[in-house]
Amino acid sequence: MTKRHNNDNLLGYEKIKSILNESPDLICRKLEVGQEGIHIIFMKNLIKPEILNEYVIKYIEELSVEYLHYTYLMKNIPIDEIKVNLEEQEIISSLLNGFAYLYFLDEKKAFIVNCANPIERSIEKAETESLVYGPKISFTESLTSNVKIIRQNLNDYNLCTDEIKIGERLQKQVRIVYIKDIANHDTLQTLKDRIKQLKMEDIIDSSVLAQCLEDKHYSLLPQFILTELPDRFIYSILNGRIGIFIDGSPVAIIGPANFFSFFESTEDIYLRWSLSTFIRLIRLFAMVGSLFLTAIYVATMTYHFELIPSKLLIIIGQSRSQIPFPPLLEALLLELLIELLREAGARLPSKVGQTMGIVGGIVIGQATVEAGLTSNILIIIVAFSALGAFSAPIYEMGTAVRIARFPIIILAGVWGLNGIIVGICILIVHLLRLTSLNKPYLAPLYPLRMKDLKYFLIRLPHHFYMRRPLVNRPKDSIRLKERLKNITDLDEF
Amino acid sequence: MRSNIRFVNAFMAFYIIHTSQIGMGILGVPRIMYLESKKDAWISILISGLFVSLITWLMISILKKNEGGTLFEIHEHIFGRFIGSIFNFLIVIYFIAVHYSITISYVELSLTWGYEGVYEWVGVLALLILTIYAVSGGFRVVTGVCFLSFLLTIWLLFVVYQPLQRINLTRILPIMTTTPSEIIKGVFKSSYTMLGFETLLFIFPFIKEKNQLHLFSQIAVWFTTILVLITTVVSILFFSGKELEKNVWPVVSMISTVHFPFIERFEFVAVPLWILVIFPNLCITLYISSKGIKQIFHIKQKYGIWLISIILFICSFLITKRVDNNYFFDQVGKTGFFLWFIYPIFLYGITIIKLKINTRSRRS
Repeated sequence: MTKRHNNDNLLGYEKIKSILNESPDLICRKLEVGQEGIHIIFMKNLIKPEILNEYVIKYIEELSVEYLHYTYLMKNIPIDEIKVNLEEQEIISSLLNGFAYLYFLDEKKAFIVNCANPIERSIEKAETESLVYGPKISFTESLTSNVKIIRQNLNDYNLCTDEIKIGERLQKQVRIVYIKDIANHDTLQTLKDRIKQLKMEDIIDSSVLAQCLEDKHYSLLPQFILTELPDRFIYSILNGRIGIFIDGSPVAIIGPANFFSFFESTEDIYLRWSLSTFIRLIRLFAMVGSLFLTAIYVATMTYHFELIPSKLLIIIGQSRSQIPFPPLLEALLLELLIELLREAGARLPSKVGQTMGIVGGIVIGQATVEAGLTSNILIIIVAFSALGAFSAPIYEMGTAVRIARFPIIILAGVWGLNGIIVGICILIVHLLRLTSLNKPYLAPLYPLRMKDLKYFLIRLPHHFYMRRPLVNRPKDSIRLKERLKNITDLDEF
Repeated sequence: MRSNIRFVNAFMAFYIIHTSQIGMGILGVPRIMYLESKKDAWISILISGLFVSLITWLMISILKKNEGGTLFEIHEHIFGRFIGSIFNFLIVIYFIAVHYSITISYVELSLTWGYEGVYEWVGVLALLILTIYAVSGGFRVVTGVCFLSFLLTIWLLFVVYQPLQRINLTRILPIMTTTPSEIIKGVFKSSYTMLGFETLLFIFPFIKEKNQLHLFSQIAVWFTTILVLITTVVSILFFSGKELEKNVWPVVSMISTVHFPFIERFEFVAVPLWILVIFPNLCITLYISSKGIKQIFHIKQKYGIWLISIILFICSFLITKRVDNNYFFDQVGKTGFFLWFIYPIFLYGITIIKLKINTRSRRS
């Protein structure tokens, strides 16, 4: 029965050749051993020749005749990964992944062995997220090495790396990484369901996957953290979040995310608490300033001159006296220029990139003022808001802030301060309505969890953090279990 | 259905009740109180606060006796489906009127301070869109709006510090120069400002720790009373009697004397910021009225929200004169007084009678 089953699915060289569209890379090595011989079929560029030569061909040729049959070879061939009882589809996809197909002509049986030669780059320093202290290592495009990095740093048997395959034509392996006795079960289930229900084909990168998994696709704000830093990844997982890797992407996804988690950097843990708290608050203020400062300038210049003290008003009046535009147009012009500068800087090769700084600094900084197109004060404000947007440790959040600025500036130009407050109201409601993996986005501020505020807004000395933050609903919330056995009342921390 | 309800913590009741009480009323309350009870306005406010506190206690007992549920459900339960629906409809109309009064009084204020010439319906439309967006997020979002608006605006209280330096203590002395009847009239007039605690009757099913609700709603009610008291007393001390009688929004005028090194006229910040103060009011009134529509007609709350919003928007073209608006606010205040200061007493009585009948019929 099994034999017939095998025969049905077995492919000869000719059939494989026709399925693979006569690919010139497909090679069939016909070994004349035993009664009829063995065919070894493989793709030329995808396998590692040393492995095939040394451990498959040479091994078979050195065997004496009585061992040259399917059962013995399948059990004893010196290669770590073999697959038997295969479907047609799987044979072809394995061949394309660098496996070699061993076909026994006399027995009409076959199995495949792994001789793959994947392209990997070495593990390098992180580029988009940079730290002063802490490990500099970053993820690479290879899923196996990413899992290796995590396993090496987090040696816990409860660390799960569940595998889900997505896509048909472009098959991708997705790994969901979490610690079984910390991560919340419901969140995990939501995430898995969403990945399984993905309708989108051809997901190339983790950033695409993150966008597909979002709760609200029309929101400006990112709902997952994207990171290339293993230490950030491990820190998040230890706090009850869930991580996702996708084959071929050096960026990992972390969820559920909340608004404040986009403003924390792992460096906050490495630096001393006083500095970390200070920097964290500065980031938040910078974000708020970046969102509203230009808008406030537009509003006061258009509608509320009365707000500005007379001495300051004279200075602003002087610098604005030559300008032909209304404040709204002036601000939009300058903001767009800054965005243009940033985009050009990002696209240019790094050697030319430096010139952009000079061009931007001189042209936008001085020439526009001297030409009487913008006021000095607006330049300061726009520069501040550009800096503020980039201070967010997660790049996505910076971009979201940069885009959200424009509607608020326009609202300010149309309705003055009232418009800004309307913008704030919309923002508040949007933040309240937003969820990430069904967890509230504005947590722990709303729903309010007093004990969690110390995790997100500020950073206290480390001995205050005996619990994991409750916003992720961890199963096991106590960090130092063994040593805390004697302390009955944990709430004092 | 019940399982879909998202619960909020009991302390959120504080923010809900407090923010739905504070709104447009507090800006004008010193004048209205002064017109009735002169220097002793603060006594009226304290009496009013005490009264509100008692009514709150009564409301909690009504809710507990009726095993939770909103007032809409209680009405249907007590009076039956048909008569209950008529009652509910009246309440829905009341809340729509409150929403309308808040919107137009804010738009009027905003047009006075810096936006002359803008059409009223533009402001109404902007506020409506905001409110629709918030309310369609459900009760959780409405609560969040209350909470965040409280956090973002409570600091305005400290701005009173500057006018405090220019007050004249003799303006409030001697105490008890007004007749008791004037003081009672003041209590009556304060109703428009103090109203909002009736929200309690509609949030009960959403509260997680129901036994703590009474505590937090009392705190909220007293916090509001103290805020109103502070603003009234400071306004009376700050303005001379005749000035106060002429100022429609004495609190805004008082804020206009506030100076910062970098902000010359603070009221131009305070008036836009007041959107954040009235935003919870708008959300809660729209939420409750749409909930009522849902209860009466058995349609989705979404349609209720849109229906009410369209009515409100059409009404915004009817805004004409200050005098008419004032009359309207007065009527809303009066209705509110009878509906939420007097009616709960009757409702309490009816509930008890109903319960006794029920237990008797069960025995027999």
